[in-house]
Amino acid sequence: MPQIGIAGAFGVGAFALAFAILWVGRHASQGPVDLDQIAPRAYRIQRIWSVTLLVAVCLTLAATLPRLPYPATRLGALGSEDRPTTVRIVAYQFGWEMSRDAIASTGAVRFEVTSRDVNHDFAVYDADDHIVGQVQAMPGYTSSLVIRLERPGSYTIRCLELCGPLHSAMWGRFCVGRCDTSCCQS
Amino acid sequence: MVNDLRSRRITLVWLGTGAILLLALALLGLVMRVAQAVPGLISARVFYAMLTLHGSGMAGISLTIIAALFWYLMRRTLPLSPAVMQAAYGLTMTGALLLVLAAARGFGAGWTMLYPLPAMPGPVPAWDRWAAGLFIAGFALIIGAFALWSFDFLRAGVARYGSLGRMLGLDVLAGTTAPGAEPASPSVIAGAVVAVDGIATLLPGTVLATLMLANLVAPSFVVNPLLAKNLDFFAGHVLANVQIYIGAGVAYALLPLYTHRPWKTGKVLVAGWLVTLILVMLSAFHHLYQDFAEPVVVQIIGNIASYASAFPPIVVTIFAGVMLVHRSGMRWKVAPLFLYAGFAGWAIGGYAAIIDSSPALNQYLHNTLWVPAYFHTFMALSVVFFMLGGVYHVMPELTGRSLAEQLGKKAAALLLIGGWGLVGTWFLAGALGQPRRYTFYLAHVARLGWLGAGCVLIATLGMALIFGDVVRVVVSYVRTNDSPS
Repeated sequence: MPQIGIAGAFGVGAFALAFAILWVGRHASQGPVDLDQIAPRAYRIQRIWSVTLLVAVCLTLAATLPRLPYPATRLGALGSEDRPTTVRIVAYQFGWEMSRDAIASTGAVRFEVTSRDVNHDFAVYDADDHIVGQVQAMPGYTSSLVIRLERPGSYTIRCLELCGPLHSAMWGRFCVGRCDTSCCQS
Repeated sequence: MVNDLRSRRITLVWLGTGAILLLALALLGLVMRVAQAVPGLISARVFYAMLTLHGSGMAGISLTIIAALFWYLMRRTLPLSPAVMQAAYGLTMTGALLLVLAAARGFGAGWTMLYPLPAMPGPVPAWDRWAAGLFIAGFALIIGAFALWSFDFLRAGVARYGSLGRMLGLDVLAGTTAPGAEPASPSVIAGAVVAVDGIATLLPGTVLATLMLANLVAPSFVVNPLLAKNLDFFAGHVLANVQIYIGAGVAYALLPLYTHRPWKTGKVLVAGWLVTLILVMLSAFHHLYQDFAEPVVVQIIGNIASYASAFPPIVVTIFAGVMLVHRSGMRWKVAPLFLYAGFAGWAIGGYAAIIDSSPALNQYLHNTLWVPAYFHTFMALSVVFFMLGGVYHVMPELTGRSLAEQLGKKAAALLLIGGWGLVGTWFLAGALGQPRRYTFYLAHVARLGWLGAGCVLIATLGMALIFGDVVRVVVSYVRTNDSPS
């Protein structure tokens, strides 16, 4: 689950930044030391810090740009045998129209998403209520969200774009695989 | 001297009103957090009206308040106009009144009010078209107030330094500063970047407001929603971000007074601000990563610009600020405490925003609580802290009386604990999929909702302590009608 990696990377970085700022803060009242005295070492640290950040940014770009969420990238990553099931989705205030609410088998799914009225955000949640993928549903446009649904069972759709007073109540559900589990009956 | 007295009075009125508004908006935030933790406490319609008022107030009104504080600090360097600040005050307060009236009529489309939602609230009782019109007009007035500030800042800077280029420090970058000539200070450069970016939002903001008002009056008049969203987020993104740049200007001006070390204008600082001037606009595209209709090349530009925009603050300004404090012998009075704490909010909030500014990771974080987590880290734990640092510094000048130091430190502790606690719960809940702008928490993160509500309560108590002390000082000043020399 990418969310664990995201939270972990943030936690480590935030802790390191907070530690550095607190450490300097603790030593603020020492001195006064002339600025020219600490400047050479500080500028050396600044150069190292700049290069470290630059390397981190380049590595992150190299790791994430090939994983763009757009259909050309996602379809390109599928194997030749892996033909996605297409599901057409129309968002409206305050619900979802789905061309089907059951998908026969696990694997790649291509959601063709549009909106009948205002902007919505079609987000697919797995059984643990974590986001698997999302795409904006904009009136006048149809967007393709290609995701792999590897776990059989029930998936929840939620709107993530404020679309009116009943925005929070705008949800739907579909099943993947054999729909004989209780979660698919609700 | 008369002019300076007038400046001080205008600033005092700005800060006094600002304190009332910010406390009221914080209380709205508290009610919303409790309502999220206790589903059914208030109706969804009321919740979204409150959320919209809270967001628009914090995004719009705090911008003009910190701009007013910065104006006061810069008025001795630049020939700024008190009349312009009076007009900006009138526009801001009229705008704020319209926002309150719109919210009272149930307008709840969020401060970003994505077209065509203001005219199409849905098949349930929501808001009237005229309430949406009031909101758009009110927000436009506040942006107009900021535009006034921006134009006057540039006018005064050009009058002082001879050109916009010198105001931005280009002569320092080119090494052509005339012998004996004083280069623009870091505060002036930051203010110039803010003013240029602020003015750059005028055209898209005005076009969008006009189109949306036309759509409200004549629903048959339609706008391309993707174009509207680009205009919306360009203006909104820049106006939200420049607040922290004004905060940097406040820190540039004040922190050296406590560390007794100068914050000099160097080539790296100037280059950093010039890069920021451009990148803050280009990075606005990261708000549309999940709009797959947007050209992919624009998404990649947004990604790279967002990453690059992290360098000037974290490598230049925040680093230099921390270096200025290191072993300076500084005493931790409340003003530098807030200014220094503001750097932490800026650095950590920025890091979280950078994580979200990759399209691949944004797939999992877009419109979750992760987003309000990082912008509250920016706004509450950085912009507001820079603002409070400024308030503690200028209050003796404005009133001849100081805010209480010990009480201020207690309030700062409450704000730090409550504020960081709140955004901590949001980062975690956001990563776990909790949508933003929801009236309730999903079951698997519901405990974080309760914890967050408790943290808001602690932070609001801290705000209330400071507010009470500001009221004490202002009332004492007004009663004795004492005008400090």
